[in-house]
Amino acid sequence: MLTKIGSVLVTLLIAPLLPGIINRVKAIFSGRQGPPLLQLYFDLFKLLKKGAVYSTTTTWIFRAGPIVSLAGLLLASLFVPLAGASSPLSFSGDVVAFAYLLGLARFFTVLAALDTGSSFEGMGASREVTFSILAEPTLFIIFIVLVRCTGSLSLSTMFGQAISLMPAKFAASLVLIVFSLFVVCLAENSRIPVDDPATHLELTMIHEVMVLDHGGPDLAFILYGASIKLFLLVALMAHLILPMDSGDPVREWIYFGATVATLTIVIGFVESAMARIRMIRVPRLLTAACIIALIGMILSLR
Amino acid sequence: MILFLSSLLLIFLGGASALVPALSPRKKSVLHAGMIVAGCIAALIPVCKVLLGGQLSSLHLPWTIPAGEIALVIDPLSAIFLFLHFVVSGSSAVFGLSYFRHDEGKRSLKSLHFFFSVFIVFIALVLTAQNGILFLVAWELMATSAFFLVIFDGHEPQVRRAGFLYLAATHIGTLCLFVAFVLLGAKAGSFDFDRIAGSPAIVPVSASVFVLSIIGFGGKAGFMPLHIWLPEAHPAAPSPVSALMSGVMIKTGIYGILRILSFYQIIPAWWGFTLGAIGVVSGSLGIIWAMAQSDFKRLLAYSSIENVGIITIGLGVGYLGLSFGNPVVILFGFGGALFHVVNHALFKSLLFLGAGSVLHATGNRDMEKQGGLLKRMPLTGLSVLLGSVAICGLPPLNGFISEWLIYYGAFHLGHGKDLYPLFGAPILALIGVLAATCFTKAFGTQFLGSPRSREAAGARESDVFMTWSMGFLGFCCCLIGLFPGTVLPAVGRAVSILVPGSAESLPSDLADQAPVLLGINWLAIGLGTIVFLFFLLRRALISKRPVTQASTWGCGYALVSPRMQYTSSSFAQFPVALFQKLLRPIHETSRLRGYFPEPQARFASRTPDLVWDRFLLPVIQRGQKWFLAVRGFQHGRVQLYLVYMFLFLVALFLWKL
Repeated sequence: MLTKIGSVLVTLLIAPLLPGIINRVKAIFSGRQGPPLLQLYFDLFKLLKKGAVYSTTTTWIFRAGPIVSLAGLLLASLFVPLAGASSPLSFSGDVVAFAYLLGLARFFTVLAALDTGSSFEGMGASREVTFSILAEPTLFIIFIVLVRCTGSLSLSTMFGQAISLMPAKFAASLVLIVFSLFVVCLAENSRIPVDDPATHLELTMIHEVMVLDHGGPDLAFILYGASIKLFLLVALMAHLILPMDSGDPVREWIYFGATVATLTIVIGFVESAMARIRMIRVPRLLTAACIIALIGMILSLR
Repeated sequence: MILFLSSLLLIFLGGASALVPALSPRKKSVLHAGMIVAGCIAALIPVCKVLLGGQLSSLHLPWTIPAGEIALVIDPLSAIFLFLHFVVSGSSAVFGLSYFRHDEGKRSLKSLHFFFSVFIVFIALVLTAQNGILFLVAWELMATSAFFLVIFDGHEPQVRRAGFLYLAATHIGTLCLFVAFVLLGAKAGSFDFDRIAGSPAIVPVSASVFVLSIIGFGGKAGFMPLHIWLPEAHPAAPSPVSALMSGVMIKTGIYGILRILSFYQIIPAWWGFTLGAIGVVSGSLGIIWAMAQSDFKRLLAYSSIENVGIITIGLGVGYLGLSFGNPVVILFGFGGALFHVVNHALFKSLLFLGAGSVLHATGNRDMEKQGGLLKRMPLTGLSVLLGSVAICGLPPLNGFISEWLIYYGAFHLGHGKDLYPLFGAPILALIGVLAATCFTKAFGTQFLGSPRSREAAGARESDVFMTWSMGFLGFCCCLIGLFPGTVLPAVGRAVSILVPGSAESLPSDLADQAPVLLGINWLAIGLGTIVFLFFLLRRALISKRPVTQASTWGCGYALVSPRMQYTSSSFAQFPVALFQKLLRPIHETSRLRGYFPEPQARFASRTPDLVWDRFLLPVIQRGQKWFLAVRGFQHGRVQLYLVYMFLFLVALFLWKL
């Protein structure tokens, strides 16, 4: 029980650190000093203390969007195992619940964007749903490969314990799906090369432009939710890369922390080394990730 | 059974009361709706008894024609379908009470009222008939009364066209069913279902019965190449009728397939694969086409094809489980499919009623012309939102539960070496995310933003009958989503009808899966709690801070107008472009001329049905040329048609002698 509460607290407290790490990596690459590592924490506190400005066009959907999104993401986070420990909540088939909770969060973010009646936000919403059309099936193909490899239908055992007991013949599939999951993670979290979180030109953005009209506590909820989503997908990848099964919690947490940090730095590295690809080319990248996952699925049939 | 039949009689009399000349139009409508609602409530009593595990309710009467007996039975499988039928029918009748109000006095509602009742009664008989002949009679009357309901606005040419398309499609299906039932009846020696079921004599014709019932029932359900009548007839029909057709009538196709396949003890694996493949194709293509529509009711019609696809994927999974002998797959495949039948009936009829409410308020089905309706029609908006969340299969509403069950079954199929069962889950995921695109578009462009036309700006909330009937269906969606455990035993009992000899083992299988189902039960409640807590937190945070109103941030541009908003076409343009090859949208633009162009620039886009345009229409046109030769025989003189029949009979006699 205590470990479960502990892992919930870790998710809640550590998640906002990840964007800070990415930004620091990017700053180092471009020779800047960059914002402090804890910048997102400062931003969140500042935003929570602010009032709000609402457009007269908006309805209660606009106010409900950030709340429902964050709730969906938080509930989804309860299914994700951390450091090899079993997740706070798990049941057989929770992989589907996890994916659909992310879907719920997206659904309400998109509706809140459309509620403003602004063409910028409509544009972002349209892009968001388009990329999710390709990212979501990829995520499910990845899950199917893992179901075949581990024989489990819950994220907790799939990523936590069973992954290390997997027969060696599945190694090739695993490498392929780690790559696919990395691309899905970049797309779902609106990172370069799919989306550029740093730009302030509305025409080039997806996620940022959808939340353009939100402010105050609402924006804090959205930023916090985005960091949790990033943390969740990075945590899942960490388990695929480094199985955590030694049974020694201290060692596991050190390994886990190091892997998550490394992956975050890799994302920062990708962001520094690559440019955002043209919007109409993004589907090609996502399709490629989908096909690679499919190849992994076929290899897992052996 | 007596209660059931007398309530059907009550519903029928409700329709017949429209023919009484003495009453005023309003009184007639109220009487009609009142009797239908009373009949539906009364009929739900025996249905719910069976659902809760009570005695089967049955009626057997001798019949003068030598085809067996009049047999009506409510077994758990029928009961599931009857339950949704009466819930949806009752709500649609109440909705119709104000939907047709502006027609009262202006035009006759006699045929509408009469056929509405007949339609409800004969759907109920289709779902209870246990004799092939009786089933076909009820089936045909159901299909024909639906035709008369579709052509309610028959003075418009496209409504007539839709009506005739529907009539042709349904009769092609009925023709196949005639052959299928005659084959079964001839082999088994009786048309009574309980004599046909399990009879070894019907095994040799199993393949032809399967194919015929897929065409016959699949045409009604909207399987992909046979779906062409749906996107025409659903928008053409008045909204309460479309709700009933999409919510209930297309499910009778699913019911028929389940009933006819339940006659067989051994299910070949290729049946499951065929159904699964049909489901995958209908599901994905249906929703891709739905995404490209800008007429809300057309979009909903395509989305019905998609949902029938999901149901069929579930059936395919279930039948594969039956062939492979895997109880978990059987339970979750069939269970998910049946659960989705109920759920789809609830949320799709809710959405069709919502579309009706919008149409009533703005006089337009075109989503491009709407906007900002949530402010003007808050209750309709809330209902449509509930329906949209449910239809996308998102937690915490009911759609999620049934889709989750099908996923669970599909995941369990993947233990063999075969590749194709594995595609079920990614395709379901694709369907799910496309549905989310489709319904964010539908809800977002109609109810959010600012109004794009004068009619939308002046829209007013519909009256109490409309909002309450929608609210009731929305409430049902929430209830099932929050407490799926209450519905699952009934679904389990229906599954035991489908699986021969499993009445004893299935309940214990269901009990084995209880911990899994418990997880899903708590998920919805957990989500609700977290949302509520965040709501309180947010309220506490901003209660002492300044909250101001301003206009939407326009990036510094001052003259923002509603026409600049993303419309449904522009929202869908990027995702539609992904499926360019499948959709082939047609754009019509007028080129601007000169330095100061006249304000006549226009842009229109529409997406035709590829199956109709590229496949069926050429075949029909080619066929017309061939059939021109024999057109002389088709002159419309009935007495000569009778002579043809006589000559045909004589020829038959000569051939047989």
